[in-house]
Amino acid sequence: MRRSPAIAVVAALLVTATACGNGQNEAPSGDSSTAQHPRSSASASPVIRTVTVPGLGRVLANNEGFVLYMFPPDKQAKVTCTGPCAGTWPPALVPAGANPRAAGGVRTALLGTVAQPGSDARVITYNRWPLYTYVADLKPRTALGQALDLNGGYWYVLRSSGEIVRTAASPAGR
Amino acid sequence: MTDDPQPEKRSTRRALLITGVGAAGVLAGAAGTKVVDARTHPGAATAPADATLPPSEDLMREHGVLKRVLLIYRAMDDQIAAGHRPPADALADAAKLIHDFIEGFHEGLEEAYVFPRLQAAGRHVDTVRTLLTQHAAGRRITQRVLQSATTAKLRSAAARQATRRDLASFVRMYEPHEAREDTVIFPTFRAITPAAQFVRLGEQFANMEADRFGTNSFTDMVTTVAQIERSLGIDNLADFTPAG
Ligand SMILES: [Fe+2]
Ligand SMILES: [Fe+2]
Repeated sequence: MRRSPAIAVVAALLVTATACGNGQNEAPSGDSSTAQHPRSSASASPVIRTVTVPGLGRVLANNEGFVLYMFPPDKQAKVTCTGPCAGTWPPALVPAGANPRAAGGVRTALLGTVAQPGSDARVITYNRWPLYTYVADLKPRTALGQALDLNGGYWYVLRSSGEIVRTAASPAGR
Repeated sequence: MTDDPQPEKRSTRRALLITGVGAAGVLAGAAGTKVVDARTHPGAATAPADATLPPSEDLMREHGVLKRVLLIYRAMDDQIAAGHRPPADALADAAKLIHDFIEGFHEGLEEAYVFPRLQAAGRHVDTVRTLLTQHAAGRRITQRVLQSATTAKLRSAAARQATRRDLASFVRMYEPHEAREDTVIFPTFRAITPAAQFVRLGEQFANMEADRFGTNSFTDMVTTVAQIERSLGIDNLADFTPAG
């Protein structure tokens, strides 16, 4: 069966959601729940680029065109969305030791990574904000999560300049 | 895609476990149900108070809370339709419970631990996509309802009608949504998850809920819902029994 990007994104988060949270909730290593997801390992060299979303303009996206969000409670310091939150907002992961690459106006100097709690993988950052996708964005170039108040704060997309976009997406972008 | 529910063959075994009829030391297996051991609980008629729920049962009792909020929303819809103003506090409390617990936690569990397993197994993939779309739609509605749940805003007839439309569409969407999860998604989740993982997930769900909402979170939530029902005069279960 052909796997759509959205399905792959959702599949990838299973490991993340299982692995994060406090120590009590970590899946034991070798847990077979991690074995059935081909996309569960982070892409070796993920590309961050931009896409145009109706009502929002050009915003950061992953290589498949899925919009990336920042979460103010992370305070440009750490990943605070773990456990069930990471099911809703799967972090953009990169394997330890690897680096994300920039394309289409994205500034390499603003790209970085931060620790993913309970995992060896790292979460990609932009201007030090950890980046996440929204599980309900089933199609590229949509931003159903834009300016949504959920899991303890509002979620926003970013421009390649690093600017946080706080306006709501138009219905066409949702 | 056609749904392929696999009815759980659980009721009989569960009855055995709870009544203690089964032999002592019977394994919980895929049910993840804590076994009532006749040696340590002689004559036990109920499960121990500290029994960890299987993850599917945990999610289904959370659906029970959601169902009671849908009843509250419907009562407020009726109030507005009759030309009354719903109490802003009750509306805000109900929507906040949906926002914090159902949308911020329960749906997160589904999105993190249930749906990905089905998608990886190629089971009910189209249904899961629809459920995800509905989670997103519900969160938008709740955001609007929370913004409208003030005494000042509800003074406006136009705002009340907009809120009424939101409440009605939320109820209309979530009734079939949770019914589909209970009858199709959760039984499949259980069927495709190895028994040991299933038991562990039940423990993880309980731990995460306690970390986030406290150890008595479910009881507290039911108490909150009951208070809102009381404030609306819909708390007496007997009132729902048809006359004659
Ligand atoms: Fe759901
Ligand atoms: Fe649900």
